[in-house]
Amino acid sequence: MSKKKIKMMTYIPLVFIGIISIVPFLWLVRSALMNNTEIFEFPPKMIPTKWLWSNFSEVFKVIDFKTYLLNTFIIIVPVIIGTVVTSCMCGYAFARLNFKYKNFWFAIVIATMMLPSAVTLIPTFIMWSKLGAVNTFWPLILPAFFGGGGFNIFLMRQFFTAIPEELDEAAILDGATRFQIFWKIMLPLVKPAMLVVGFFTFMNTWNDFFNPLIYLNDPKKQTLALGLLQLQGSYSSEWNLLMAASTLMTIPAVIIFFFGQKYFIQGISLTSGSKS
Amino acid sequence: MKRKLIAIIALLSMMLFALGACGQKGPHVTEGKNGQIVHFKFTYWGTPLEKQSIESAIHSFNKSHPNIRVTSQQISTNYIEKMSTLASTDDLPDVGYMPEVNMADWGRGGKLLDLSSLYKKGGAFATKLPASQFKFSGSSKIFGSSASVASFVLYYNKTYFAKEHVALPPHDPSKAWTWDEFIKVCQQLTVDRNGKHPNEKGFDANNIQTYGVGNFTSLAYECFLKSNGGGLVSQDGKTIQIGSPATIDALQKIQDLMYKYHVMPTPSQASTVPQTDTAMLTNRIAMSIDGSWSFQTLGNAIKQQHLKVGVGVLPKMGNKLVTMNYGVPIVAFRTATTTKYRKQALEFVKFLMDPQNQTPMLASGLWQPNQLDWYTNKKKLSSWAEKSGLPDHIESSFAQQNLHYLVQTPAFFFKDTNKLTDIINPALDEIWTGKKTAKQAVKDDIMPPVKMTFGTEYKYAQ
Amino acid sequence: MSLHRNKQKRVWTADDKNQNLMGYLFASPAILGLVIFTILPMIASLFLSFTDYSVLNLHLHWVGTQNYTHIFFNDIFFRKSLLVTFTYAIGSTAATLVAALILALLMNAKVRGQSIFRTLFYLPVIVPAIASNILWMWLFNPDFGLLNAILRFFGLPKSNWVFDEKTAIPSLILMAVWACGGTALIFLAGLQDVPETLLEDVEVEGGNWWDKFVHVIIPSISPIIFFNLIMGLIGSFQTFTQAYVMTNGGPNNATLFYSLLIYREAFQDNQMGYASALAWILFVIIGIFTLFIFRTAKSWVFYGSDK
Repeated sequence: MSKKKIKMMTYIPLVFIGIISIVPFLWLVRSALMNNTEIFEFPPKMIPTKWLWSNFSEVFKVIDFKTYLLNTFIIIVPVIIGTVVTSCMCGYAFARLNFKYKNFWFAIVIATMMLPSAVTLIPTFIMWSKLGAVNTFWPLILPAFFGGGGFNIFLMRQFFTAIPEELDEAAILDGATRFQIFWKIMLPLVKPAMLVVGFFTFMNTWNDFFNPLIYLNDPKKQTLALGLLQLQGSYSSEWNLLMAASTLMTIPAVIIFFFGQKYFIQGISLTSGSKS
Repeated sequence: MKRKLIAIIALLSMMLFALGACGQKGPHVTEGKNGQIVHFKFTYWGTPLEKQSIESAIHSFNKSHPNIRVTSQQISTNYIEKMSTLASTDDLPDVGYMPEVNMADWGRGGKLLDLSSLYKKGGAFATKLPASQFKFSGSSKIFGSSASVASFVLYYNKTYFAKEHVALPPHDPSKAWTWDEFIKVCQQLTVDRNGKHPNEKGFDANNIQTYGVGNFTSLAYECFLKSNGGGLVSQDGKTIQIGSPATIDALQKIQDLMYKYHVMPTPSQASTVPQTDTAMLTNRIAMSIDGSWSFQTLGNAIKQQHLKVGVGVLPKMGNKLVTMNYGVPIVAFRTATTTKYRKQALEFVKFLMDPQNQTPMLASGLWQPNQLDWYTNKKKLSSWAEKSGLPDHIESSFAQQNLHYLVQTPAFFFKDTNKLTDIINPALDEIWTGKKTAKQAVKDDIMPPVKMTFGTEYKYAQ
Repeated sequence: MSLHRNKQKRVWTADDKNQNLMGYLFASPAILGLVIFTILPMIASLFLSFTDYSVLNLHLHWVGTQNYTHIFFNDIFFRKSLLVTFTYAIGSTAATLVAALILALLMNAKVRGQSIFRTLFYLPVIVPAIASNILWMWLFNPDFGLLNAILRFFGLPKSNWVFDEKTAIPSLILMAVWACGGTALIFLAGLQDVPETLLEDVEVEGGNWWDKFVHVIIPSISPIIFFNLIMGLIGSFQTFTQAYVMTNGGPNNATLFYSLLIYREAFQDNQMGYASALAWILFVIIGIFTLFIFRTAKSWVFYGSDK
């Protein structure tokens, strides 16, 4: 088969999976534009009979959107910075540096992910309460500056370990310090991984309603993800408003991803040029 | 070094709890212009409508009580986790909603104030419907009371009944259908894709267009166990009745609606029709045994989409009509403030529970009053029934059922409701999905683990 | 043992000392953070698993191993939910890994409009669960659902999906696979480090795409496969939301995931001590699995740093 043919062939799965993947999003958007009963009508409709753009303005009416968005920003910006910076540092240390008890510490990093959070919730809450940090943003922000959790540290470590050792050796012979190696040689090589960490962190923080729910009491301190849940009721929910709100939450993530994914380009890294 | 470190961490973590346990907090009081102001915090959940209603009630309470100041917090989701974390550091709110399934543990665990003094005082509060009280067997304490009644009724689509030439369901509890009458009507209403009824030749059970009645195996089924003389637990909370012949018979009759008579959708068939109004608008079901709270969405469908709905009384399976209350309770938590200013806390509870302060909720159809006179006093009755658009149906069906045929679900009086339903529900799945007969499921999958779990603590109806 | 021997032989060079210092410096956020924010609550929960702690009764009592013996000998849900969790964890990890790798390869193909395709593929992860769960209920509907329509099209018998004990877990695995975009993204990042020169070498030697895949791509991204495998297992063993929202453990406990059991004990029944014991049993199980995979890693994970 010629190269061109193969290329054409790849479009078949691309389009097929693309369609499967877009259905839920279209579903969400059409639900956001319907009235509460039409959403559940059977057989399901893909096009609203009447496009209720008013659902969106209704959401803004019920919810203090501006305050929640601001709070979300105050939390999400430092969290992303903290997580990306410290997970890179720690990942690098665990991948490329030899220090005492390294394996012991690394085992602990992995182990922290193995205990269901349902049972650490109360002790963690008591701890923050003792520190006087309940009803502040600290419990939501501070942990990001300490490695950003086992997942990110482990992820960065794997990417650092994939880099050939010769690079360090050559740099050391040239008289570079460990910090210079980290900054000038290693970091550029793990850009795609940093992007992944950054994007995951954004998604998790953006959609996280649980931690804000637990740690914040003041209604004025609520985040967007938490605030939107106000549309959910005990007996019945305003599904159309909930869907409109969910659509609003989705769009920034889609935009960020669309522009971010462009940096996943093969050959950006030096590895391709290095001897192997 | 490793060991030392572990020892230090262990020590620290235990201190965390030792300290967590004895966090003494004082009552929340400030000095105002006219003397002391007591501060209460109120937590709740609900839709924007409920929020609006609650906030306006609190606003008028604060206005009329200058020496009490209530602030509120809406907790839209994961309510019990939030309460648990707050309890762990002794930071519970003073008054709030509470999920009914958690009432037993929290009440008996000493976290809730006893409200029985409110009932003893007489006045309006003494006329709260008995089925709205959370009173656990072996105790005289009342830990909470439904802010509103949430019970089951029979909704029906008038247009569809007319089309099939079927007589409308009764509105008078004394004329409630027997189970056989109910099945007959369901059969007349159920139609397959070719317009055939279940008792006709060539009926296609796999392609049913309209079901006689919507699936009610998730909650309302319990009403019929009671109606048949059985139930999960006896109303005195001393006997587990799930193994009784009356209960098994009732479960079997409900299963038969799906697999023998084909007049009710199976759980999987019903999974995508969550709301009665939609199901009726699209003629998926002709009748629905659903909660009173659905009247809010139905009311909208009546007004906006010209759905012609009627509200009738539930059918009887045995010789009595039974409907059950699921109304969410309001409780006073035991905090430093409520302990010291108990009177003020109860005053606030009383205010919130007064139907007079629940007007938006009652008018919307989402809530129903929890107080006798709001059913018996003609003026009060019509004040909330009228706005529904169906005042006569409300007055005859809703009101009469709630007045005379309302009982509590086990969560109101039986302390082991959670443990029991954890065992029962999976086995009921087997009945509802048609995997086992009621008798098999109860004998094989319910009774052995129930007896193993509870031993001799309860009697067992056999 | 081997560690001990190394120690005696070891001569500390200046660079070693430097590395030790730099290592601790770089790792300090993690180490400090773990000790402060994570280890403390973890040890606390371990301690609680030997008590009758409940938030309702703050004066806790030491009960020894009672919680554990009750779990092993008297808990009527323990074994069932372990089995359910094992099945799901292994099934979903394997299926997600394969699906995500394929997806990543597609996302890495150099074709026109790739940025659009990548964004599309990632949508299932971005769409809030509240919307996609309703959609899945439609898809799973035995009578009218899209999935059964597809089965019908191929002449296959219809399935009851999440509404049947036998097919509930596979259905949830299907949902997990559909949302594998996150895992695929990590693979995609890994694919950027596959040395182009090696791929060219294969071509020069006359190899086809399969040779490239097996001999170059797989070894190059093996650290990333390893990562996704470990994280997939750790995550799926603790799956909660899917079962809580979609099936609530049913039908007939077919999806009674272990985390659901823990949640029930912790918050519904206020048995935090007991729930902690349950959690620590899961911790040990996941730990054994993880350790096992780490041990096998030497034979199939190729690190640039350990040549």
